[in-house]
Parts: sequence; structure tokens; C-alpha cells
Amino acid sequence: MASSWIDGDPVKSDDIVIVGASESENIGIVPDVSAMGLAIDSALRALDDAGLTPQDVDGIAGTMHPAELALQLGTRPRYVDGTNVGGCSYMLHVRHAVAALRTGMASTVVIMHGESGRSRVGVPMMSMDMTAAPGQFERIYGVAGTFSMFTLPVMAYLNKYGLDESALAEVSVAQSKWAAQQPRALRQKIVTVDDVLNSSMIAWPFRVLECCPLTDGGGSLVLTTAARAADMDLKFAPVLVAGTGELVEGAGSSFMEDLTSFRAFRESSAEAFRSAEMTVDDIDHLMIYDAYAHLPLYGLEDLGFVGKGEAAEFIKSGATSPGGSLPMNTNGGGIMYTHTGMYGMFALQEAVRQMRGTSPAQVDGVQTSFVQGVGGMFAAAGSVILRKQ
Amino acid sequence: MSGKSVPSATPETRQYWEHTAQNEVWMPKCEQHGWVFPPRPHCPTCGTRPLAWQQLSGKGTIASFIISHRAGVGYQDEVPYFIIIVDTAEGPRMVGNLYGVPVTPESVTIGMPVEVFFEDREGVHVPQWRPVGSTVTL
Ligand SMILES: [Zn+2]
Repeated sequence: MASSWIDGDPVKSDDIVIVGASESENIGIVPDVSAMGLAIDSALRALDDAGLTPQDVDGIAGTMHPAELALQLGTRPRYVDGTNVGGCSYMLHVRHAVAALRTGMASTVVIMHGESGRSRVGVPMMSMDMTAAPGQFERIYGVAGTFSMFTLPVMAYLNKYGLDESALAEVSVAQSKWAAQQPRALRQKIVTVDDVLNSSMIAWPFRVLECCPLTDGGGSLVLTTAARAADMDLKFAPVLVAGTGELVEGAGSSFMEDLTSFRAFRESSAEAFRSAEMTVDDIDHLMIYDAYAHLPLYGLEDLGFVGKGEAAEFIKSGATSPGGSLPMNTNGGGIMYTHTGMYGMFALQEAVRQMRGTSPAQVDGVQTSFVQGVGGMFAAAGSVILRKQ
Repeated sequence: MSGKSVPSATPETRQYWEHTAQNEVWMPKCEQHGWVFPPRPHCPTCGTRPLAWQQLSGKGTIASFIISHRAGVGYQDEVPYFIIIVDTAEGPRMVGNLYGVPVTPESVTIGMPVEVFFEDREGVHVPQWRPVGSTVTL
């Protein structure tokens, strides 16, 4: 193990809370709002949760250009985090905001996401860097999208544990049962294994119902200290950020250390558990970023909720479905709910809703939520543990 | 002209593509920590630089694969087609396409032996893979 940092002090976060959380008014197919517009709409809604205005904001984070975000929101931040490691960036923004709030670099941080992944309104030209390592050594081989590269390690995993295509289909089946309870989900129909296996082939063994759709949407979080929150006029009880973790493994799914287990999932989650002084036994609710159906399988195992090779059977048993012992991806996940491109913010939003008791698919009695993000294609990971106060 | 992507070499990776032009696969190797791929001028473990390059055998086994039903750039006439990860005999993992077998999941097993051959894309030779014994070319 080369990771000597793991012996250092964890980033403690027992006094930082989420006081605002909102998605944009509309998600899914939103052709009349730009990516920036979706971000700002959600930010204003999240600020409204806490009775705040843009003038109260002195810290911002997001994957869009930070100066443009600041201008559009209407603030002159003294703390800026433009970390962009893909869809889990927002988990990293939460982690960094905790540190900033604790050290006084900021007093109120807004983390913003807006993406017009489907309608492409106000989106800068995509530039694929063909000189970077994935460009030179992966993408030249007919990689048409993330669906034919992020998925590539899966057969190593299925083969190792003697699993077949139905292991992936069961992920979508379980999540469709949650999505059916979510009026804002793009895909709201309960599906069977046969439905999934008979849906159109994208990149064998992945069918379209095992791949995220492209959507439009925004989401924002407002973080501050528990002490400040006590003096605020809040619509919802603050949600504690109990622990965080992050790890970057490096670009490219073929370059990951082990094709059957994601080191960044293992280490970012371990750091989150350590900083929260919790174990898997303390977690009531789970979100695992699912751009594709294999990610919850890797995630359940790498986070330690089940043993190696056991995730498929666990999901098939109903454990992660409504009424199960570990409700997972209760918004339906990126595959069913929405996937703007960088989905992580929506996993965080559902976790906050579950802690507030406001999810359309609310699970009774949940006190803690673990949110696991992945960025790039097995390139980075970010973990956030939330606790109801 | 297939229109497939031609790799964009950088000064740090140029040797890799100069060797493939000779229909050989070479990679940098640290004397202490082994092969370095994707190619970098230094060892990511100990920082040693520069590194000497060595030739690989061009043999390997299939570590993972998908069958793409959507065409990447220049692949319109090949759909569906394999994208594979190869564990080379020497260790480093490489991505490529698999030719010389019917494009069905049943044609491939994890651990199946493959060997490299080269596809000419506007003068740049791109490593590709076929079952050992196959004489398929592009
Ligand atoms: Zn070395």
C-alpha cells in the first residue's frame, strides 16, 4: 500500500451542515433554459431554503467556469473551488467546503451544477483531448461514447464471479421500483429482467435500460457552520455532513489498477467512514453513482456493504429495493431518474431529501446516508456521509 | 480511407508510435518497477528519468471486452465490433479491437490468447489484435 496519507488526520466535519438543497424547477428535457440558467435557478432555490440571497454567499464551487458562475449568481466570493474530476466533483466540492468553512476561508458556500446534456443549450463546444493518454491509447479504437469505454472492464468482473448478463439487468430492475415513486424521474416504468435484456443493445452486455439517458438539469447545495445555521430561518432542519473522502486514480478505465474493483471507491469511502467515525453498519440509506449498471455492483463491494462477488445476489434478493434492508439509489439512480452528464449532484440531492424526510420515495426512519460518486471513467471518486440532526 | 482517428503523438509518446511504424510494440521500462504504460518519460513509482524502452512480444490474453453497437469515428462499416482489453504477456494492459472471429459474445472467452497485428491509419500503425494463429489483416 503506497497510501501513506491514510494515516494522517481525517478531515473532521462534525460541525458543518447543509442548509439549502434544491434541483432546478424542471429536469429531464428542458430546452428553454441554458446550462448556466439551470445552475443559477437551483442555486436561488437552495438559498431560499435558508432565507439567504446571493449577497450572503462568500464561497462558490462548481464545474462551470468559476468567474462566470460568480458573475451570474451575483457574488464576489473569497473562496472558489473549480475542481472538475467528472461527475463526482460535487462530492469533492462538499469535502473541500467543509475544510473551508472550518478554517474560516468562507462562511457560506454554494455548490452549483447545471448541465444541458440533452438539449445542448448554452454549452461550450466539447473538446476531446486526443493527445491525452485515453485519447491516444483508448478512444482511437472506435470508442463512440462513455457507454463503450466506462463499461469495458465489466466482463473481467462478471467472469471472475461466474455471473451473467442478468446481474446487470437486476440493477435496473431494482432501481425502477424506486423510480416508479419519483414523479420527476425520466424513466418511471417498473421493468423486469426480460424488459431490460430485450431493450436495444448499446455495447454488449449493456442494453439501453442499463445505460444513463442524457438529460438537462441543475442542482445546488448551501453549506455553512452549525453555529450559523442555528441563527438562520430554515425551511428544513440542517443536515450534518458527517464524513467525506476523495481519491483520484487517473484517467482511463483500462488503466485502473484492478479491472474488478475500483481503488478510488475503496479509499474514498474508507476515508469517509473514518472521518465520520462510522462503519457500514451505521448506514441506513445509500446512493451509488450509476452512469451504467455495473457501478452499483462495484460500489456495494468496494464500500464494504457486501463481500467480493456478492453484490449481484444482494440486489437480486431485494435488499436494495423498496422494503429492503439497504435502500439504494432511491431516486431511481442516474439510469432512471436523470443524468445530465455529471450526475453526482442529483445523488446528493436525493440523499438530502431522505435526511429531510421529503423524498417522494421516502424511506421511514433513515438517519444516515452514504453518497458515493465516480468521476470520469473509473478515474476519480468522492464520498459524502450525511446524518440527520 | 476509413476516417478512423489517427493517434496524436506528443513528444513524450512519439517513440511508441515510431516503434509501431516498424510493426513492433515497445514501452518504457523502469529497471526497478517495470513497464510504464501509458508511456511517460519517467517511472510513476520512483520518478527515475529518462527510461529505456524495451520491446514486448506482441502476445497476450483477453482481460475484458464489450461489443459496440454504436459506431465510433470511422467505424461505421464495422458495427458491431469488439473493443477489448488485453493483458500483454509482459504485463501492461492495452486496449484494441479484436478481429478474426465472428462478432458474438460466444466467440470470446476471458483469458483467450491473442497476438498483435497493425492497422495502417494514414501511415500511423495502430496495434490491433487477433486470435493466435489467425492471419486476418486490415
Ligand atoms: Zn521506478
